[in-house]
Amino acid sequence: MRLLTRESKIPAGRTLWADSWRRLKRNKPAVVGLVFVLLVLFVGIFADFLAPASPTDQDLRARFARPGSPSKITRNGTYILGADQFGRDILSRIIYGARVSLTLAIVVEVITRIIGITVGSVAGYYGGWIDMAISRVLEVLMAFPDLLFYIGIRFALGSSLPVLILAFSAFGWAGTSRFVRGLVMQLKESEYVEAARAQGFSDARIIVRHILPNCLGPLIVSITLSIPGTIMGEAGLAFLGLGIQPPAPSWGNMIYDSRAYLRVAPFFGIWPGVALIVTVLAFNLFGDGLRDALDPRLKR
Amino acid sequence: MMIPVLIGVTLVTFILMNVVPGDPVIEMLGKRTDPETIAMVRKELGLDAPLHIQYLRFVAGALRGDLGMSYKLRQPVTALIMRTFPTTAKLALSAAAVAIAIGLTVGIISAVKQYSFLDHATMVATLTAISAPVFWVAMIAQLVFGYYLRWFPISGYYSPWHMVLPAIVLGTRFSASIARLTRTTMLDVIRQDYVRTARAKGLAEKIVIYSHALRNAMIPIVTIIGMQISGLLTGSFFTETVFAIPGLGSLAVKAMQQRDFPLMQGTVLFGAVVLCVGILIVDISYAYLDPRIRLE
Repeated sequence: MRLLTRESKIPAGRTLWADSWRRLKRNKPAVVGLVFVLLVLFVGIFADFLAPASPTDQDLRARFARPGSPSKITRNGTYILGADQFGRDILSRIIYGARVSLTLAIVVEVITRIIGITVGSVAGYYGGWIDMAISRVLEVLMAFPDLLFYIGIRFALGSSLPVLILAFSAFGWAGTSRFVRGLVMQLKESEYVEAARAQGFSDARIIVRHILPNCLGPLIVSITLSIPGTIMGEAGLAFLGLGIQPPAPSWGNMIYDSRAYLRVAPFFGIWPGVALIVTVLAFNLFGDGLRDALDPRLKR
Repeated sequence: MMIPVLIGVTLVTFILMNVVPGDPVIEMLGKRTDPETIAMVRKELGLDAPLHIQYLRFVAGALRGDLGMSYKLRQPVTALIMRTFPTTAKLALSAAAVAIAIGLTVGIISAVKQYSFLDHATMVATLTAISAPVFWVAMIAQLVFGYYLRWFPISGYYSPWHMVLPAIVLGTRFSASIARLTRTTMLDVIRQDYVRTARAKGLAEKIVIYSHALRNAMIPIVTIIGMQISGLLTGSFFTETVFAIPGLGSLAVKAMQQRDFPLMQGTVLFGAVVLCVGILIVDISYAYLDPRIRLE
């Protein structure tokens, strides 16, 4: 009798997130990706403590010093990854470059997602001529050769971090809108949305409280996978001499600077490229893993 | 679809060119030119007209294939584009050939040998290739294969041989996404009933894979190839810059560095047209690959 009266053990509620986390943990490449993503974020945030030197300190007598050679400007007295054409510490510039790349990517992500989600959910929820009009605009934006737009805007407004953010945001939101529109169109037919509507909730409330939370999974995945795109985009612009202007460090403008000295100092061009690839690869691995974890049906 | 995009492109480039600080006439003639000459040249170029008239003139000209005169090179923009475009097209097409050849092969092998060491290795390799910026890879390839090993010419474009390394660099990058997608769709298709039927009736594995499975996997693969056209064009811009190949990309970069507005505007518009045509070709090829899809 006592056995029966004892409270039966009900498994604790398992949320979608807990489930996904469990699946993610089992995916080794994704965990490696996550660790590197966190590492890069850590490096970017604590650049001031981690970098052995200021990214702009020069020592013209140590131009192109090989990796490991003694240095007067770094705290530990060596150029761990060598020195660039002004004798600046390459490692420190890479560390500060992480901050620049991440700031740009994250701010662009916030801006484009806010605009994209708003526009996309309006188009998807209301349909009809609103959807027609918005969709046409989105198609034009998505087909626009964006690199050429960056070049144009860079010329019109000069180049600084805010201008780059503007350039990347101007077209970036179209993809999100299209994506959210599709999800919303699908979800608005579901029973729980109908139930919410029957209860007399306002459209805004239905979209924000009932539909959008269900889009969160795919959105997080697409954010993780689009951050590396922005990081590469900045590097690409910088490579054409249109990125963040020196002496501020960015991985892209380091690669751009290194081009002229590649034969004298190959390491100068190699390190920032490696930093870029590792970061982008980490985001891609993590994003892929996240996608599989959030939606196991997609598992290939 | 094409027309609104092109109107959008002309409008945006036109607005951008006009908010750019600096007077194109002064840029062209130099700061010390006397005001009368400046006024005269401005009138001659039609720059004294109101903006909307200038825009309509530009569009009317573009429709006739006249994109104006380059300020700096003093040649018709259309002629400059026509001279450089074949080079870019050669690079982009040979890169696409490399990409499709490597991508399909690697993708099919990975799918057939799923979860083998080879499969894991290629998946890591392809993701790395996708994560590497094309200009950096081009730069390093140029250093290693051109400068250290001397297998290929370092830069310029004087013979088809000069195109090999750039095409491989650009093609490899795009082969990675094709390989990944081929693997995914092949895995999907291989599990379908009709593939099992084909095997059951005793067809050779090769025939099953190539004529039954691959054919049905082609639609999504062609879609991704179509989506890559824009990337291929941008990619060839970077590759051209690194290898000093005188194509459309180098022309656009030069126009940009010299603030040559008509040339910029022309290359941007032309790039957009090429993009639209490419997407159209991909759409048409769907109907060929899958007769169920009809062209509207």
